[in-house]
Amino acid sequence: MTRWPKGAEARDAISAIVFLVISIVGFVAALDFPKRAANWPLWMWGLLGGFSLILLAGSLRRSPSGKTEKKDQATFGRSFVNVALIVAYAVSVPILGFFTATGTYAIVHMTYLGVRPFPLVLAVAAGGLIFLYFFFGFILGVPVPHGLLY
Amino acid sequence: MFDQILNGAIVAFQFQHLLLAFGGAVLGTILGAMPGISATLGIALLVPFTFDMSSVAALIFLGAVYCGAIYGGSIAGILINVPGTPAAVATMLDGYPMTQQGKGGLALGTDICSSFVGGQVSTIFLLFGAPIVASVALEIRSAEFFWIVIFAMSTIGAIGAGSPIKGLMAGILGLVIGTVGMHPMTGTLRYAFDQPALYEGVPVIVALVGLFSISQVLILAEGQGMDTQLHIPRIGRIWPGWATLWSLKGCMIRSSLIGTAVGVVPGAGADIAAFIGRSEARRVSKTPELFGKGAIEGVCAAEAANNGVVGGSLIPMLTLGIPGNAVTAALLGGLLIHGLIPGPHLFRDAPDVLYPFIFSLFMANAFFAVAAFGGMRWVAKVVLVPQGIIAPMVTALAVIGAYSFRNMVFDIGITLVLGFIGYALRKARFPLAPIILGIILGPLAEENLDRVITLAAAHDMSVFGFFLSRTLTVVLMVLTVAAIAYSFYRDHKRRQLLKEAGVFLDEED
Repeated sequence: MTRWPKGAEARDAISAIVFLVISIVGFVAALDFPKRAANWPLWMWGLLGGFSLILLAGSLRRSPSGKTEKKDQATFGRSFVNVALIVAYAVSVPILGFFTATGTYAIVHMTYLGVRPFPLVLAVAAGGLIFLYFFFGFILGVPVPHGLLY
Repeated sequence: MFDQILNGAIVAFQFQHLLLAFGGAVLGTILGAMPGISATLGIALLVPFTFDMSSVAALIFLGAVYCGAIYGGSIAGILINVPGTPAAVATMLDGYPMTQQGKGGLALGTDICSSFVGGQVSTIFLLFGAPIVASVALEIRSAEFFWIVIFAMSTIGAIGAGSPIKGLMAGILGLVIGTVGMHPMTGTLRYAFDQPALYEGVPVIVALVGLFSISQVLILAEGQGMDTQLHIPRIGRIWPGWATLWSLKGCMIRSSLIGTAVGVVPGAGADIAAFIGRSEARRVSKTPELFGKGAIEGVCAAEAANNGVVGGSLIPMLTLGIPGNAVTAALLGGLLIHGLIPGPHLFRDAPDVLYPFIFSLFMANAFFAVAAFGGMRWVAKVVLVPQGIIAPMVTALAVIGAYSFRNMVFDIGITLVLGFIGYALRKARFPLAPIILGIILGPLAEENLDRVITLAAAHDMSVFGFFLSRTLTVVLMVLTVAAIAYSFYRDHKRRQLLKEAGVFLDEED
């Protein structure tokens, strides 16, 4: 009986399953397109599904390395917070305005990432905002999203 | 052709273009010197801001950033043993031991000169080689072009990645993302989820910014945000002296040619070129035992090859529309937003843009060398900027870059989604470059396949039969199968060797 792999093999097996599921969903969705528009996506999803199966078979067949990715497990929580901060920033941009949201986000994220002392965080955030305002807003004339505050 | 070259030189030497080339080279050097910021990321971040520039100015600026960033990546590797770009790893192997021996200045000086020579040699090949390739490429028809794309995708997916199957899957994922939006022949909306912003597909620039910037931010933010232990040691005199440079002339020229040749091959980027250049220098060296312990030829070979890739990689991008690596894919995004469609017709249709661009690369190479010699003591400090500061700043640039392309908040969402997918894929050891190449090349491949289907029907042939009726197409099909078969064979051999050595997959990764 094939045992569920560990370490790198488990990572490959999970990726293969995710790709396989996405391929099946994409393939089924492409069946609704007219024949001419469906040809290319059907081939691509089919190939992706096929390669996913090969990857899955390979990861199940390989002898497990027996290694657990301690580093990955430790950084998972940290990555989750980083993702949450970036999402919160993106959501706040159209509400608060680009400059207000960016200043707030930069201070919070730098502090979370361990940049010290705090006056350095404030100085970098202020310097960054001034640079963004003058270089992109003023010199290049790049449009930025405005919100409630600015 | 010579008239066009002359006109190109005149335009490139206009004051504002010189200023842009200088600014781009310096900015590229600084970005490349920051650990965690690659040439691809630098260009991906800057492409959206060139939207309001003229196409010549934008290309000159981005080309200079490319040259500067490829060179700048080596500075952190030599000084603090942290490569700024993947391509700088080979330089670091001998550069950092030289710094430890108190010869950091000599390593940096050799690095600058070798990068300069590598860049100039490859630009000469680009200037004279690309128009010839383009004139031949004009004869290419849809069937051949479709297989060129497939061949490029197979080599990019297979050569550049650790695992060929993951490389190929990443490439196909890109091709699938490229199907989002309206099908050009039938007008059918595919995978657009009723979002008008997706009717024209996923914008290449937005995808580029998301995949490379946001995923890199998350990688940077995984570690310690501020390392107070890092410091720059005394580096001494930077200029290596004419005698040293003369003794390295063979190494420089050989590695520059290796870099140029490797750059032309789709999928083989600056990192592969640097390692091949270094290994070749070691093979012909009279003192191979010094490699890895501070051999000056090691730094010279890796850097000349590394920068030699710049011109080489632009040849297939400008003549066939096929970016050979992630950086040229990012540059291709810059061409696309200025309405320039890379491919065989580009040299015929826009010589007034291309020749100034190529000439500006000569200047960019000279500018980063001058700036590096003149300002190394300041540039070197950039390597100490904490990742905890870089990460939020890159996020802000990515957000403003994604938004500014179409002035749509929705694009910020696409950037984030692709960035998170990119991060998950990187954690699962999938390469990202094939995805962006797939997004760019997918619509081209489909469009040409559609034409072939129509032509085959007109000739009362099957599509496969139509392909087999054309010699060049058959050659490309055989090459594609051979490239994939070779990559699987190579992977199998590598796994066998690792198994025999008792190294597991995680350690290898």
